[in-house]
Amino acid sequence: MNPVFRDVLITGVKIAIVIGGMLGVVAYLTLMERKVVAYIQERLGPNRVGPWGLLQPIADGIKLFFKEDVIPAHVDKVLYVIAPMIVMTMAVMPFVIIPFSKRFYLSDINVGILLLLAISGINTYGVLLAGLSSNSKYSMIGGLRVASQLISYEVALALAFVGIVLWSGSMSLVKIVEAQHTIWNIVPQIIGFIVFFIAALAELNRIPFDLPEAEAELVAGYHTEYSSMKFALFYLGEYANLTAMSAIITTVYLGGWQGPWLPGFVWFAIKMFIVLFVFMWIRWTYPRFRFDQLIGVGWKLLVPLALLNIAITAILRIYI
Amino acid sequence: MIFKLATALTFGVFAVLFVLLALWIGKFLRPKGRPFAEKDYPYECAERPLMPAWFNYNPRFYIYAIAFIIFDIEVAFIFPVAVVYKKWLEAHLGGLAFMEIAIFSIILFIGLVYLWGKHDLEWIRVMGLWTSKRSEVKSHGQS
Amino acid sequence: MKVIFYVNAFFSLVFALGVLFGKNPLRSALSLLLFFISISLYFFFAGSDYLGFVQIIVYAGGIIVLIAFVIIILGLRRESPDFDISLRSFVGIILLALFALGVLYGMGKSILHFVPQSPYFDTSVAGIGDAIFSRYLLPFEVASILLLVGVVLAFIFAKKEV
Repeated sequence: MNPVFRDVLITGVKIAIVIGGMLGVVAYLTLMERKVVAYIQERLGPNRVGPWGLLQPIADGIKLFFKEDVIPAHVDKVLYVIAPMIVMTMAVMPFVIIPFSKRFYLSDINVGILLLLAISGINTYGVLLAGLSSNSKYSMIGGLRVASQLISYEVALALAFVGIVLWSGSMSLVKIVEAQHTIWNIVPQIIGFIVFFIAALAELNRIPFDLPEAEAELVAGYHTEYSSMKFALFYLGEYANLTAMSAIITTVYLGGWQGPWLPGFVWFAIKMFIVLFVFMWIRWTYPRFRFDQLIGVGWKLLVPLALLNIAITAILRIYI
Repeated sequence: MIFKLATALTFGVFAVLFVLLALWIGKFLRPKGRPFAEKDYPYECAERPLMPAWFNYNPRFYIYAIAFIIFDIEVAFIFPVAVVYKKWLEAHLGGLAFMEIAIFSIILFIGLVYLWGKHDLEWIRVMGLWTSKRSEVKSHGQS
Repeated sequence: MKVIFYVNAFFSLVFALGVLFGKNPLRSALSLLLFFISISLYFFFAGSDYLGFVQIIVYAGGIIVLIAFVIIILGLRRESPDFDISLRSFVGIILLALFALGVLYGMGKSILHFVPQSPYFDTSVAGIGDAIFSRYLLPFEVASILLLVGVVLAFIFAKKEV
């Protein structure tokens, strides 16, 4: 067989596996979140559809396909339709460079971290456009809040990445994972990890940073006016973002697929689900920030901490 | 390298196709037509909206966008330096490399301190500056 | 390769024209975003992945947010004004045309005569990092001071204007 053709074929199959697997994980994350919150609140959670509610995500998906698709008359139609597509696409994109195991990754781009930053930069427009095009006051305020929140915390996120790059000497995620062979990055980069984790919570709009969709004040924030599959894309995009962020944290700080005895892929999955569980745990534990507190934490706590982390890393690197 | 980027691009195209497929399939399943004219109105808790939402908003958001761009450029500058830092250390030029990063970061940190000192990073104070100097606004302060 | 390049060139033109002729300022901003992304593809074609992504991060990720915020602050419903050729805009157009001619002249000259001979033509991340550490050490630090001045001035102007 022609080697170029074989390469293309293998890549195509890999892309199908990654997108399919990611969708499966995302669908069942919705169930996992509902189960986790149920047990935290001493309830049972969904348990009617299939054993332990295992068919619940499928039932939800089918239901969303059958929902009436209302495009309200007052919206800017083009932007209104494009916005959820941007969110979902950009939520899937990080998986293209994440090494799931030693050999299984789609593309080892040697500036992978810049790709992640670019993706999160474009992701901002999905939610911003959703808020602006809806022509509803709740959406508008939600969109503005989410945009200023995302850009404020993206600085901290990027500076935390700088610490990683200083430590590993590479921006390729594959090389970063290999560099964690002896010790995971979370140990020398503990300040960076804390900064990154908090900034990740903010980037994901999760409690305690869920002001853009604070249901008590903004109904549903930037996606108030969305229905049917377009709403589903926001909903899935949120969970896809969550999965992607957990995968990034696993890769960058927790040693990726590295681990004894078990195969790399299993280690990756275990670590990723632990991070996912922590995200859910935090969601049902903390109250929401006020907006001024949110901006304050981003600029006055995380950015200086991240700069400090860079300085510490640079000094550590000289002696180790 | 170009092949790796092409893979990323292909992946993006596949993701877009998937999204379009998801939007398109529903077309055959969901009900058509509009049962209520009210569904065309923006959601405002069952009140008739008074005016479109596209009016002038607070310029405070603009300040954060400016700060974001400056720090974004800083990060873009510092990444190539961070990549070669390890290599330069191994070449025993670590002192030079460290000084370089330190000076660059400190100068930008001065920028952050300046904004901080001028209360440009504080949401409520800034609001107090632009609207009236009502006492209740000022008394809120940063807790 | 060539096909993708020309398809991308076509899309860049379409998006650029979309920015100019869009009636809705927000749609123009979206066009500009797509335009910047298509521009970044040229950097990838030229083999500089770093510059390509920086183009997306800084221009598509940063500048457009600023533009979107300005649009919101000014109010979304304002349409683009009709063209009126006053003296001031006439002078502006002439200056712009001169600038464009200058840029075109410089570009044409560089394409015709200039073959990059710089020892740091290595445009990979590591290459750029090495260049910053050795040859362009002083410009790098000057850039940080420039950014500092940028922060201070931007905030002074922003507070004066709004």
